[in-house]
This record gives sequence, C-alpha cells and structure tokens, in this order.
Amino acid sequence: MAVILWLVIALVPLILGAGSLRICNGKKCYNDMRFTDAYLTGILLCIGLAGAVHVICIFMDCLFSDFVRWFGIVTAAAVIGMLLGLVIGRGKGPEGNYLGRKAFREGTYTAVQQGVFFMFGLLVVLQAVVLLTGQSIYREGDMTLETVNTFLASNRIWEVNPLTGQAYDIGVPMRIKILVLPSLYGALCKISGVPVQQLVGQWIPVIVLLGGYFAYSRLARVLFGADASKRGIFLLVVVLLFCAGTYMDVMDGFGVLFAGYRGTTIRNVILVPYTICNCLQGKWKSVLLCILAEACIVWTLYGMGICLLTAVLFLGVHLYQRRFPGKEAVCRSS
Amino acid sequence: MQELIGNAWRGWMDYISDGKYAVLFLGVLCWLWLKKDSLKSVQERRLFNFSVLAAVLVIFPVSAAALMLYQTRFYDYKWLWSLVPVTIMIAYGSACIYIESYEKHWKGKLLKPIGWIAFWVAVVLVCSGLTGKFRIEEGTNAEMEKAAILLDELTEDGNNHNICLWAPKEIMEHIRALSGNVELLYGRNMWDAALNGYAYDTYDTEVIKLYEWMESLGEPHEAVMESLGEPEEAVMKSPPENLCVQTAVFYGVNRMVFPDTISGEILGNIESAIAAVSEGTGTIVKREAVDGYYIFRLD
Repeated sequence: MAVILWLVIALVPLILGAGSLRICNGKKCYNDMRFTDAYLTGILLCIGLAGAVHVICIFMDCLFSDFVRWFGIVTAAAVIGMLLGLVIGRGKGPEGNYLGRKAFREGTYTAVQQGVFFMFGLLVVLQAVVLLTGQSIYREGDMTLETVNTFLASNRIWEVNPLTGQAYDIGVPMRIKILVLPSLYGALCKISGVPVQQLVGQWIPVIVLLGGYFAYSRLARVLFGADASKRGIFLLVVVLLFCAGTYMDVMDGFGVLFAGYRGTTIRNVILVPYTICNCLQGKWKSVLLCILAEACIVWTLYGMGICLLTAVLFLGVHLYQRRFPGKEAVCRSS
Repeated sequence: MQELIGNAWRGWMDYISDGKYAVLFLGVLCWLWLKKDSLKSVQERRLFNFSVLAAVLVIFPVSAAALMLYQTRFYDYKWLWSLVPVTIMIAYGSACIYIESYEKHWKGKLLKPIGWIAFWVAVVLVCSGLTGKFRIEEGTNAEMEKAAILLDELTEDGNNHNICLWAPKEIMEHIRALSGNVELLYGRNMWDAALNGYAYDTYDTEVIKLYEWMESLGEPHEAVMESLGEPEEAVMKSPPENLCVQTAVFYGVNRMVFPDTISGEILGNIESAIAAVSEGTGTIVKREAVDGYYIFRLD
C-alpha cells in the first residue's frame, strides 16, 4: 500500500494539473507548460478538492469516513475526467510541442553546469533521506498530529478535542474548522493504512520539500530563461539556505526540515514562490489557485492571506512600471 | 495602535537578533540597486521592485502594524516575513553576482571562483547564526519513545478506549500524537499557550492545580498546599496527595503515572489515597513499575 500511495501522490497531481492547464489554456499551453507547472497546479487542485469536500462535510455534519469516501470519489472522478480530456485533446501545440518536450529540446549543458545540477540533485536527495529516516518534528504551537489521530479514532470532525480526547464544551472557531490539512492527511492514512506519524512526520515533508524545489525551479526558469548557469547557482543557493536557515521557526529551512506538514510551511515554500512565479508571467488564474489553496490550509483573514497580498503588490508594481517604464529591457519569454 | 506599532518594532528587533538572513537580503537588494544593469528583463525588475516594496512595508513600523492586523493576531510579527522573498532574492543575487564576476574577472581561472563559493557559503552559514539556538528540544525523541513504551503498557490488555490518563508533562505531551484513543486529563495547551488559540474551551481551576502539583512532585508539602489554596491547618491533617487523587478520580482519571524519583513517603501517600478512593467506589487498583514510572490502574 505504501508503494501505491507514492504512485498516487506522484501521478494524481500530475494528471489533474496537466488536464486543468490543457482545459484552461488550450493547446497553446503546450508551448510553455512544464512538468513543474502541471505538478504544482495538481497539488493546488488536490488541496482545493479536499477543501471543498471538507467544508461541505463540516456544514452537513458528516462523519470523517464520509469525508474520506467523498474525497476519494471526487478525486477519482476528476482524475478520470482529466485523463479523458488529455487523451481526447491530445496532439501537438501550435509550435509543434508536446507537453514537456520543450524542456528537453533546449540545447545541451556544459560539464560545469551538469556538475552544478548534479550537486543540487544530490543535496535534495540527502535532505529527502534525512526527512524519511529522521524523527524530529517540531510540534510547538501545532496540533496536526493529534488532530489526525482524533479524526481517525473518533470518526468525527472537530467534535472531540484533539489535545485531550474529550468532547468539546464550546468548540473550535470556524476559521480553524475549515482548514483541510488534518482531514486530508487523515484520509490518506485511512485509505493507505500508513501510520499517522510516518505520513505526517516523514512523507508529507518530503512531498513539500520536492514541491518547494519544483516551485523554485520554475521561478528560476522564469527569471533566467535558458541561462543554465544562473539557474543552477540559484537552486544550489536555495538548498544551502534551506539547510542553514533553521535558526527560527518562521524560516523556510526550519519549516522544510522540521515542520514540513504545516500549512505555513506549504505556503512559504510552495505557494508564495509559485505565486511570485505566476505573477511575473501574468498567469492570474494560477495565482487565484494559490490564493484559494492558502485559504484552505492556513488561518487567514476571511480567506485573505499572504498570497493575495503578494498578488496585489505585484499588480501595483506592474501598474507602476507601465506608468513609469524603465530602460528598454528584453522581454524574455519563460 | 500604538501598542501594535511598538510590537512591530520589537518584532523587527527580535527577528534580526539571532540569524541575519534579513540583513543578507537587504545587502543583496542594495547591491542590485547599485547595479541596476544586472536586472536585464522586465520580470527581474518587477521582482526587485516587489522585494523592495515588501521589505519596506514589513520593516516600517506603521505599515508593519497594519499588516499585523491583516494577518490577524493569531500570528506574531515574524510571520509577516513570509511576504518578503528573502530566500528568492538571496539566491537570485548570489547567481547574478557570481556570473557577473566570473564573466568579468574570473574567466579561465579556477581558484578565484572556488574561493568566492567558499566565501559565500561561509557568509550564509555565519548569517544563519552558527550557534543554532533554535533547535528541536533535545531529548524530544527520547521522551516520545518513553511515552510509546508507556502507551503500549497502558493498552496491552487491548482496552484502549476507556482510558483517561494523568501523567507527568513529558508523557502527556506525546500520548495523543501516538494514539487517538487515550483520553488525557489535560493536553499540551496547559503549557503551550499558543495552542489556546485553536479552541474556546478552558480548563477548570482544579485541573490546573492538578497539573501544577504533578509538575511539583517532590516539593515540600506546605508549598504545594499553598499553591492548591488549602488552609494551613489542612496541611497538618491531610497531605496534598489525598486531595489531588480524589480530584483526579472525580474528573474521570483511571490511569495515573508518577515518576519513580518521588520519595517513599509521597508514594505511600499516593497509594493510600488511591486505596481510599477505590474502597469507596469498588474499583480494582493495580500498581506496576515501568521504565522509570509507577503506573496505577483503577478499573
């Protein structure tokens, strides 16, 4: 079941993401859509689907097992629909590109560039190994583990206090109830049989780590285009900053290595860089997905969080630059 | 508002007190400001402008206070820095500085690029605060293993659905993370105040006193009774163990765990108190010693 779960985690977001990008952007999406775009969009859609089912279950007072069943059905239906859409709409894009083919057609890398990317890959693998074999997770101020255990044990959503196991007297604010991560993790545990500590403490942080590097890799492509040297150094420095930057619980490195399961880590490491990436490309539909995903996983002010603020500031900068254009610059297409 | 602005300013001071990634980030921004030629594309200039704007909003106390209201009081000032692309700009600046230096000065050379890389790695490590003050508390894994052993012991008879546990903090902290079936007299929010933001429920005063007593095991009776609010003459008549055990049983506790470092006198008082309670209720009491603790089962 563990292997099946890893396959599901690898393929479901990819299919959902590729299918949705194909549907939203038509065949022209093949020109610049990358594996990273498809996978990250798929993660956002998975969070969104789980969030929608979770909120409906909250308002209809459903059991946790009902949420698991409906989440499974909705996700399976979405995957089948996207697969059909991809198969029916298959074919080359306007520039003769298939999905992802463009990434492999851009020249060759020099030996030094290959070395840089190899170092990057090696360090990422080392980090993943540390996460999969380690036991250190930071739980101060967070009760995700307890909440997942409670959902599974009581089969109810937010009716039992995760910290004591006793029924709530008054209860939990709605802004906490609508956050989907405990339900999503609980559903994955229930479907796969993987122990909660292993999934939440090890596997999810690895997925978040890889998702983060996908987001940074995509951003590097947007900033540096075909300049592989700069992209490689950018990614290497990101790895170094993650490894060394664990001196405070708000740092990305600390989040990735010690609290990867938390909504704030997913936001800071995946959503915000991907929001910035999409803002730079003017892909506002994807920005909207990031904003909605953040509302599902992090306490926000009625759904308004850091991603929305990032998008608003970028819009302001965009309008300012149009009003006061700087020196002529080459618009590098991503 | 004044309080918020003060909090924002203190938050900024605290944020840069340990590691200095924020300072490194500002240094990179300054370099990019001076070398605007290196911002070749519209996207790069847009990212730079956004970074400057975000940094100003987060550092300047008035705008930071407004942003703190926006992110709600659930979060401290330091979480505002999620808006600022610190990692992105340090990495971007590093790439630009290196490639520019390489192309202008180091082409064909080996030692200088390697030296620059070593220097930059050293800068990042120094800015991360080499002392590594913020770490997972040492011993957390060992405590969790101990809690797991005790949990196995508590549930070895297969009856893990009707257990209400009262134990020292280092055990209570991990039980619910290991099993959703065991109830606790109180949870981690008793000592981790940040968790109180998740729910409206609060603990009764007696439960709080039970927590304080458990954590003070071994202290003189008088001090403990004073903390429990008992009149002085009660200290002479009845040890605090009686009151605490009775209160715990009243709250539904049927598994009590005490460290084996407590004195023989206190252990004796606890046993007497439990025996007295069980006589009245007809419960069976079993005591066993496991891995540094005494477990009392009341069934």
